[in-house]
Amino acid sequence: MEDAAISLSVTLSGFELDNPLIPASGTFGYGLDYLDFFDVNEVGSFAAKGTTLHPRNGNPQPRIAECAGGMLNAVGLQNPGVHAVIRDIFPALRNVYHKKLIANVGGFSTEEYAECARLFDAEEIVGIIELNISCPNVHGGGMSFGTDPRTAASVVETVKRCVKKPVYVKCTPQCPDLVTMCRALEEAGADGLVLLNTFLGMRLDRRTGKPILANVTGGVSGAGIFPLVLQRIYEVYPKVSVPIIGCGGVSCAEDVIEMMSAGASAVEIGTQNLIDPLTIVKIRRELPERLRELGVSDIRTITGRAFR
Amino acid sequence: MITELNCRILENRPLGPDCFQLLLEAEQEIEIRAGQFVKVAVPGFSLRRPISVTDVEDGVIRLTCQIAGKGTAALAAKRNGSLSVLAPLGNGFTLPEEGSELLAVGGGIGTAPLIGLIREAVKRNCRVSAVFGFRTPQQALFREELSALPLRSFYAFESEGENVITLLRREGYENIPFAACGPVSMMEAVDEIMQADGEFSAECRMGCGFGACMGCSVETRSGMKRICKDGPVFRRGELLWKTLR
Repeated sequence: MEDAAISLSVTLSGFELDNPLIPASGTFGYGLDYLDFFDVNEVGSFAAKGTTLHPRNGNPQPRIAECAGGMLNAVGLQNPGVHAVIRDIFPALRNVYHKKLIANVGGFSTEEYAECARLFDAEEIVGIIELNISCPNVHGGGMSFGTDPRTAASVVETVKRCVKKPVYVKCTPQCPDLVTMCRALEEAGADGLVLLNTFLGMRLDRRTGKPILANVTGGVSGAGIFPLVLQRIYEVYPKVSVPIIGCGGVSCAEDVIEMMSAGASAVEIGTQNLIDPLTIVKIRRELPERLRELGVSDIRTITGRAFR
Repeated sequence: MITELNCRILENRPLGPDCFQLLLEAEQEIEIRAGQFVKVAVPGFSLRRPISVTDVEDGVIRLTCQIAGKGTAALAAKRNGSLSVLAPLGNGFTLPEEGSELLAVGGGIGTAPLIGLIREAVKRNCRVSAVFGFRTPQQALFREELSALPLRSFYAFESEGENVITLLRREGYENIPFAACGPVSMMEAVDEIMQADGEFSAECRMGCGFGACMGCSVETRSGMKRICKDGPVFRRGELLWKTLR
């Protein structure tokens, strides 16, 4: 079988991607910082930096710590606000990026989520709205919406009334019953799920014994969380009928195949981009060969193969 | 263009009690401006380490690094083989005009990124003065190297009751355009006594090093800035010291 015969295309709620590789929100800015490394049109799509209705400065320093198998961040949703993103960044992005992006929307109230999503919904460049009810690094918002199914469902219902584009919900592993959460989100009208955001964690300074991160806690990401996320996808996939975008610790082509086999229709890649900015390009080059070894000609067919 | 370089370790030697110097030969030619930095992948560790470039001479990249934790300790112990390096990163210093005057003020490992600037200034026939401070004479870096260059260099040691501020005052250097890098407390004190315009090079824990993750963003007088991409060099007056402390 020739590589040319191998299809990497996937579909997410009618939104066509020529490959399933999506840089995860918070690791790709608004796409422009990777122009130094490659043509950003190589990505299937990308999840833009978590954006809120109003500008946010984020958390004080330090925001980054390291751990075996990954890192912790406590950036705290620093962003210029949805109006500035639409007015200042999208025009520049349209000159270099000709696909659609996934708009990651953060918020501190249901109304804020809805208004921010409504503004993104009107933008041609936006393909999917990703509701971030899972950021562990802000207080009184983010993750607090993502741990109670009724609260989360209410955010989705409100947002769905304001937008036409597909709404995906990025869930937090801190949710005590993820299956119940995901079913509640589907019932509330979510078009898809993004599993998962970072795991709550912390590090202490070895000299002082005090937390390294100014925010005390941060979100753990990187290769070390891959098996944890894989298990959650495997658990949720048979219980929902909407597509799942897998997210957590993917670092290579084999990881993409494994995560899709557990039930993901596409894969977000985060921390590995920060370590190697060419990760997406390298995986895209390698995927056809890995699929060929498995006798697979269409990547869509591997989604959920763990259950067949 | 930022490039991922495969670099061969030509030399890695200890410098004083807690520093080391790496000489790296890149597989391809690369232009690095004085004050820019690189991110070095340390085998066995997740994140690349941001390290300022001391200078580049005949295609050999020189890095001077302080052991700050396990990652830099592992790097200090790696004496041969190759390293993956992302370069060049950040903005770098404004290079002085031909025949102008430059004052380089450095503290501790913060002296390292000033070396490339000093060498560039010497090439440009500038009148160069370097005022470097360390805790003890044993920790002094670049002392012999600077004494071989046509410039005036001064070393201050805390153990001898001196620091860069007392030296700058004694020599009456407050009116010379400057470039400074060192501990935040030192840079803040330099900012207080200098009359001339200048630049400061800052540092921070970083995620990516190329502007994507916002891990090193700090509030400045002109809004939120990424130390890795909008810096690490900032014009005097831009940084808010309290956000860096």
